[in-house]
Amino acid sequence: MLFNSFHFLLFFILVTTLYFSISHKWRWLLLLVSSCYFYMAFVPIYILILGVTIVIDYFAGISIEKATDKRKKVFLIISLIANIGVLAIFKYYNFINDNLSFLLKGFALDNPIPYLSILLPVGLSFHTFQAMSYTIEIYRGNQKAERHFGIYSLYVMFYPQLVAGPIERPQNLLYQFRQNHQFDYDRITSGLRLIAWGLFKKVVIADRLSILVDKVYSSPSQHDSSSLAIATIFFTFQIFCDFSGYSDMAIGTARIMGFNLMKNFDRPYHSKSIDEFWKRWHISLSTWFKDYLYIPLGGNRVAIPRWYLNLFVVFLISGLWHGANWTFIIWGALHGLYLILGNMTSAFRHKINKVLHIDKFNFLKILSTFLLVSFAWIFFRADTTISALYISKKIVLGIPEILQKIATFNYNYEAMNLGLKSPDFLLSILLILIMEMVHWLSGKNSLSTFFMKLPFGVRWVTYFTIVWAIIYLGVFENRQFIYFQF
Amino acid sequence: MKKFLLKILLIAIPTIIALYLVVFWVPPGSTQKNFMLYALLEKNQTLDTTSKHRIIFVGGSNLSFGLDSKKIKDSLQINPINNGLHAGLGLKFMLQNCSQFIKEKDIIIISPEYEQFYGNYCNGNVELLTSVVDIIPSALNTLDFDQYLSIIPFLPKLAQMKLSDNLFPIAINKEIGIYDKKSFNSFGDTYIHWTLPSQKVYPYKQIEGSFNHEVIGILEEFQNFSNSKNARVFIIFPCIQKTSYNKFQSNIKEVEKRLKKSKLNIISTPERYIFDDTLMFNSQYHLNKKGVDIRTTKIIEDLKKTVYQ
Repeated sequence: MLFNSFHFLLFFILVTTLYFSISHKWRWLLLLVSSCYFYMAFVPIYILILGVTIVIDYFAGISIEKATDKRKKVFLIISLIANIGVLAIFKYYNFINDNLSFLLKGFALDNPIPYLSILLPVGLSFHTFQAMSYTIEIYRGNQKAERHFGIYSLYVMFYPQLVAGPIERPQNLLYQFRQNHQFDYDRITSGLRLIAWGLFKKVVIADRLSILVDKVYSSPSQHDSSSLAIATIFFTFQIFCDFSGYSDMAIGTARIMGFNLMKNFDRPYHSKSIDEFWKRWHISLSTWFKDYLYIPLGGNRVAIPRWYLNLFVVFLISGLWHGANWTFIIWGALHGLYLILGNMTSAFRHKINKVLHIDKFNFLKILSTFLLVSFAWIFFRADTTISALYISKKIVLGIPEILQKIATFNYNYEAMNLGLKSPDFLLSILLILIMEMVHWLSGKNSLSTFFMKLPFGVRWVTYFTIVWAIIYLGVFENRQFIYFQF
Repeated sequence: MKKFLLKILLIAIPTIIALYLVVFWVPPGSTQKNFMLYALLEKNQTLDTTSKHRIIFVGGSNLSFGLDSKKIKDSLQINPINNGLHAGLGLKFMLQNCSQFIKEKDIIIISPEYEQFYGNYCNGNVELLTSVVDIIPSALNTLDFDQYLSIIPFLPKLAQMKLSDNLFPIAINKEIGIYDKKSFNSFGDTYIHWTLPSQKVYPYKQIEGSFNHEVIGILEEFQNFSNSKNARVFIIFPCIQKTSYNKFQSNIKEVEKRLKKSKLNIISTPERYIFDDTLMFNSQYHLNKKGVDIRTTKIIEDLKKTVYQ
């Protein structure tokens, strides 16, 4: 069930109405049943996989809490193996097998290991990571094991964030299931505003941009460097609108029922460095990797070469987390390299900036970060590594041509055959500008705070504009969210 | 609570009224009127006026883009009516629409695309909404609850189509296009593409949802209804691109298994109607002329074996 579907609209209205109509005592059950239904709307059988890991982690959590030092670790390892094992079978088995076949082929050998004909359960990487954070936090003594099996199941299965996050921590979410949330006008309207904004970003912006991106990336050899560059920039905004749109809808849906989920995006394309970008993009995942992988590896409190290695490993694994494909691994590696090179050249760049007096030109920093991030997205979006290399090479070699076209305004849009009619193309650019302007105007305030400061009339005009834009400008092809595949 | 509901209504009511006005009051633009769905009226007229020795093909565009009815007529000495139009109408509506024209001794061959058996597809998409709003408004009252539920989400899409078609009209090409209302011959076959070069066809992306058991029931019900009118019903598998077949073999096998378990008369197997990618025109179910000829010959052979023994 997609957040941008009519099915979800009916489901959401029904569940929320029931939630506020029944006693607090039974709300956990309602949320659990509705979360099961929500998940089973994708492929019903996969709920069994979720069920198995829930049972293992539930008992592992209690066992970790009760056990003494050595046994504590054993139970944690059992839980981690169970979670990573499921992920390995469903997400990485065929990928590893594929690479093994390729290697053996080099030695003229056949791979005797069979391929598995299985589909990746939707959102597996998300709920696996959320489940892992539960047992790790109990092991660290930061969280008490949950005795109520239903509440624990709900922690892993809570439908607003079940399939694409934000990846929550037990300390932030578990206690909220025991709170009695009353109908709160301000909270509900704030949640609705967030849902509307998220839906707007998804169906009006992201899905419109995807028409052009899909067309160009499906046959890159048929397009020139300008078209490939446009498609890459469009994808940069598409993935932001798609994923942050989902996160907004997830946070908004939970907020309406009284739950506070963590912030997942904070205007990432306004970052002045790659380091800052990762503090603003997919925050729940970046902090997960920081807390459970980067710091245990030693973080930056080690010798410099080891620190760089830690950074690189974390980003490599982050790439692999996204998908079982070399394109994602290269994407992660690129970000790792960006950070390492950024740190290595930091002092030198600082000096140059001082000499040239460009230290205060934040725009240049934002632009260069944006271009580096966009370049890496090529590997994230391309179907194959070869295709990604082809696109990146063609864009890099075509920079003079692209710049010349921009400078002379010499292009024939229709001839570029990008899949979007020219009014739609211009509308896409306008929508991106509007979105970024809203981000810029809201500054460090949350969108809701910014919005509530607007005069009454402007607010109502905006309500209607957003709702009507969703209806009359939305792309309703039931397009999946990009991050659902992870 | 009252304040909240009041404000929700303040937004919802004008929005719903505006949507209703655009969908039901704004007339379809010239592009829409020229679209193949508008051939539904002529196809129904053919169903109504053709008499005796009729063989009616019911399905989506796998039929309109995949049959040469004249060959069938010449070979079997019968009157073929190709009622195939668009899978988006949904199998349920195709059968509802056809059932009003069934006559004694009719042979009805149903060739549903595989998607019709999965998820909610059989209840129709935006094509059904367009048909019941603008082409055959009287059919709007004949839809069931599931069909209404299925087409409601497409109201914004139809509204968008109407607005853009009326506000930014595109000049209609004088030449008949492959998806035009006039792209059908007198039997109901799309023939414009027979002389055009094939395009690259990518395999179908995904078949959404799980197997919908209701579809078998709908087909059996239709068969019973037709039998009560002394007509006979057969199910034939649609033509499909080889790459798409390989990708969705398990879904297709499931359809075959369920159909064979039912009380329906099944002709042949899905494998017989797999077509090499070079025989496809522009989609996984659309054949080029060479493909149309091969499929028509196979259908004639199968009809001789099972229907006209």
